[in-house]
Amino acid sequence: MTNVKRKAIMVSLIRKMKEKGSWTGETHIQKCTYFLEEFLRVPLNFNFILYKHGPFSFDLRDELTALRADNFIEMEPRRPFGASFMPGKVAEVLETKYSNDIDKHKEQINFIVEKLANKSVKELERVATALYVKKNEDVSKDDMVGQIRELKPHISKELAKQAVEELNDYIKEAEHNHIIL
Amino acid sequence: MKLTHEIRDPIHVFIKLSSEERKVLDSPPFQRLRYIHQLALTYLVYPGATHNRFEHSLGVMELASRVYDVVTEPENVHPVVKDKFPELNDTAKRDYWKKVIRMAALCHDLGHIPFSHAAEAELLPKNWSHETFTVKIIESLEEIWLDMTPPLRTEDIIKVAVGPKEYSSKTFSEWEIILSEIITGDSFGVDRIDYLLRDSYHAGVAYGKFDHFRLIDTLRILPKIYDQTDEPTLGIEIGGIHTAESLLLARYYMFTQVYMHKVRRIYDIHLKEFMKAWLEGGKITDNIDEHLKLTDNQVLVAMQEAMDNKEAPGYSEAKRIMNREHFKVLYSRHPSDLELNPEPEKIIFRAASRKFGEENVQHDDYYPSGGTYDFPVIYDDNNIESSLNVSDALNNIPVVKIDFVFIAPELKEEAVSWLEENKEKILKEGEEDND
Repeated sequence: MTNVKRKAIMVSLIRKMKEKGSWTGETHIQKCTYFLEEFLRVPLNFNFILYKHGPFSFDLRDELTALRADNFIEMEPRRPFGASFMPGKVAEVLETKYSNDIDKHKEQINFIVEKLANKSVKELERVATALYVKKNEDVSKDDMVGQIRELKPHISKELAKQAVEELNDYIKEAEHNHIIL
Repeated sequence: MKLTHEIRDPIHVFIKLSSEERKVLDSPPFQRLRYIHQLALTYLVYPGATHNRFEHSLGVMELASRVYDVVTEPENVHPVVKDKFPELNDTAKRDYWKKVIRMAALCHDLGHIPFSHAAEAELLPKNWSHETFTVKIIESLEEIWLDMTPPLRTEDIIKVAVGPKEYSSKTFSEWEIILSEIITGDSFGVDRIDYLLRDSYHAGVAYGKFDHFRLIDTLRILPKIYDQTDEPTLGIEIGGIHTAESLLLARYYMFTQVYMHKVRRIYDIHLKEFMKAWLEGGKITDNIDEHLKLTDNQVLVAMQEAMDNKEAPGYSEAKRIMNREHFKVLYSRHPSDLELNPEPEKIIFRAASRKFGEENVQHDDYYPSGGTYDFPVIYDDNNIESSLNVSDALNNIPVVKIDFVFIAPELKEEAVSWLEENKEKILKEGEEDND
């Protein structure tokens, strides 16, 4: 995927998140993109590492700044949180030109927005860390819970377990709907 | 730690080191930094900007040390942060990590190739950055680290020097993330503080100056309570918010006026093309010993020789640099062009290359790295808010973005007329950017 097509998909994702009523802060965008790439295999080619609030991509952070530089997205601060992102003044130019590429990944974007866009930062951290653990090894549910707690000791056993179950539900649904690329 | 050696510095007046630290300073990899210009060929535009990575690295160590002392001072530590970091409650641990951060700061630029950033994107081995060299060089100095009192762990120095982005194979603790933020952070990294102050001083421009003394005194490690987490991050007391604004505005002005100056940018491109032609295989070797032998001096001598020999690799680029026959700006992005095409500069670059020949046209674009200026600000009543909700100035600092299409000077007049006549048509027609 070329850089400009990736930008078009990112703008489309942000637009969909906003329409869904998401806060669309950086953490929301980071985790939704992580799921798009690592779970549904949309080839965005961002490099994610385990960082604050679970998986995080510095490349994606740079990409959001580049999108702002081009006015494809805008940032607005709002209380009580920090920055919220939204499509910018010339977003439609990009989305129109690359509408075919956006359409190719429409189902994946809709699925992720439906599941994650309105979650809190803490919920996103838990479920994204569950995917990170799952991605790295073919592990049992108990092992996943253990690994989540090892990586993020502030997450309780009960909440780690819930995150693993939630992730397993996503996997079943995505497989059933054949949307994993 | 007894700091017995003093070095005069134009920005920080005196920089002090211990005898153990002096061994790092005297090591060949560190001495090499005397011969790597901080701002590549910027001195061809701003004649004073001839300073080097050696003095910058010393400055970063000095500032890292000052920031560390302020943010770990017991009366400055927020209770939530105090509970999270045992390192803050144990004098021996605090002293250990102070040595680590000083050495990490001193060594953070050891891996730079000749002329710093000017040509690194295309000349380094695939998937390498200059930090990859930095990691390997810090590893090569292990004997010095082990000889210190107490011995320093090499991996601790590397983590703090290059941060999680560039050392992604390792998992960082929250404490290690904070220490690396002190050096490389987007908002208050001391690397940034030093280069802005130093570059503006040497370039002779006032844009980069700000009250860094006040800024450092008000820095704190604070929990990001406002985004529903207690994540510790480098933030600031409300009393320092205006100095933080000054720092980030200084960065904006320095980028627009110095770092992204159009002539400086085209010299970077000519330099990169020269080095691609001159280096064996068109790349910097991944061999550390070979890397350490290569400085700006060797490249400058090679350019001097090449400009007198038409058969020499890089002859034309050497001539353009040495005789100031650099390419001229044909097009720079106008925001309204984005309404016609999402990538105006690429489309114009391709059209100009077809019209005037690839060898006569160059494209330069720059996107900034890093995120928003979102950091915690603590009020006198201990309420913590996002800086973006506190400062309108921070919200409105534009994101620097440059895009230039350059043309050979002998073709400029013809090319300008051609573009005036055809620009709208070129942008409207565009072309598909295919995989």
